[in-house]
Amino acid sequence: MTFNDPLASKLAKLRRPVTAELRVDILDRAGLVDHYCAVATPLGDAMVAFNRHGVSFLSDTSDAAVFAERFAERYDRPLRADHRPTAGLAAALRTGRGRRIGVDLRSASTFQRAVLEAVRSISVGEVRSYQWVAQRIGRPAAVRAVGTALATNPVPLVIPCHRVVRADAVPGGYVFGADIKAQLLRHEGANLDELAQLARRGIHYIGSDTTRVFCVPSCHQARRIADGHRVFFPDAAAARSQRFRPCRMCTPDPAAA
Amino acid sequence: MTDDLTRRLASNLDRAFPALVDAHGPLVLSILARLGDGATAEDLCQDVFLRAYTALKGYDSSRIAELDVRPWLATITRNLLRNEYRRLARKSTVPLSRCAGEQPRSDLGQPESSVVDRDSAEQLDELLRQLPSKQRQTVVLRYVAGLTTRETAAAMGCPEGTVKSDLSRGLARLRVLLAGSIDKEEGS
Repeated sequence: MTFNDPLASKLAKLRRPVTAELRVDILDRAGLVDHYCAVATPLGDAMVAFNRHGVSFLSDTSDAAVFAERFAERYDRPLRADHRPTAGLAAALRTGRGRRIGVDLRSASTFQRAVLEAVRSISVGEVRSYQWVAQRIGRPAAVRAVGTALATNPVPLVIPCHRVVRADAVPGGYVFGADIKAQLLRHEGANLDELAQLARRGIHYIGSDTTRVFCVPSCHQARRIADGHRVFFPDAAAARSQRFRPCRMCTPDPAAA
Repeated sequence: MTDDLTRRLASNLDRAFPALVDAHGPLVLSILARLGDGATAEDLCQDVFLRAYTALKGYDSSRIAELDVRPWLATITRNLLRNEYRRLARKSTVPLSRCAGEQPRSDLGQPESSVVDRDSAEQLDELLRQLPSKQRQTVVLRYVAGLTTRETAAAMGCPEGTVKSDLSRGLARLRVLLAGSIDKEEGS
């Protein structure tokens, strides 16, 4: 700002710049700054970022500088240290039940948001296939795109993308590595070996001949069926043709739902 | 430029708000520092932008797009300062004139400015506080905060002609005060 009048120019020099610290303070008051803190997860120490929309980012590091760097790769918002995570988050990470935790998926595409929301319905100890997710969101042909959407999940563990595995029960890719994924699923009580064995025999659905309900093999309801009453199916059509109905808990056949 | 900012604020408030702070933060902070207490200016600056954010949140996008941002922010700042003075006046028995006059030495100049610059800035700040309230506000809005005369008039809620006369009277008075303080220094 320049003025012809020298006194006016002198007054213009009384202008005060906003320091970087004040800028973050201002944005924080308006709720536009993400806070972050350390959390314990089944994988060990991690850090999460969150804001008033929900949890925005989780990464497997306990180093604040590394975390800030990874956060900055995704978001151009300021980040500030906090003492504790949002209510319920610590418990959700410990138990794997994060369905009710608010997540900030504003920067995800509509497709990715649909994928991640679908994955949130998979319970602890259960798994689904990539095809299942694709069918569930009404895009049965987009199996590969589902894999890509899960690979860039900003909040792993909170949104359990590790519970989506290949149809042959091989874990498949994971943000923190395939070995970690298998480890995590075992920790949650999913029996990958048994599921793989069934898949090798061409079995992808299990029904009960007493209730006439069929499930995905890892469904809690399916695991309760007594051996003598288990009926095995290679696909949903086979189950339906024998007048079995799909389980309401695990929705084994979302394409028809 | 400003049109672009209001357009961005209208389409995505949360994403564009940091740009509003970057573009007009110094304007708000300068008004607060020169019309209020230099020590609380930064705290009040947060309040001003919180008010601005809350207000924008409630506006529909056509209203945001038409907004004249700079005088609007200046008006919020003036209102907040007035409320702050009322609050202080209720709380303390110290007369307001003394509150405004007694300025603690604060970080007035910019960090890189020389000692001489800082001294003259502080001196100018003190003299500014001796102007009649309306002249002082007008001078600060126009020359320190850098609003145009039109924007100053909008923020002060008076015609542009009044702004112009307040400015020339204010500057003339400042010159007299400035000359007087230099005489004093040379005399001692």
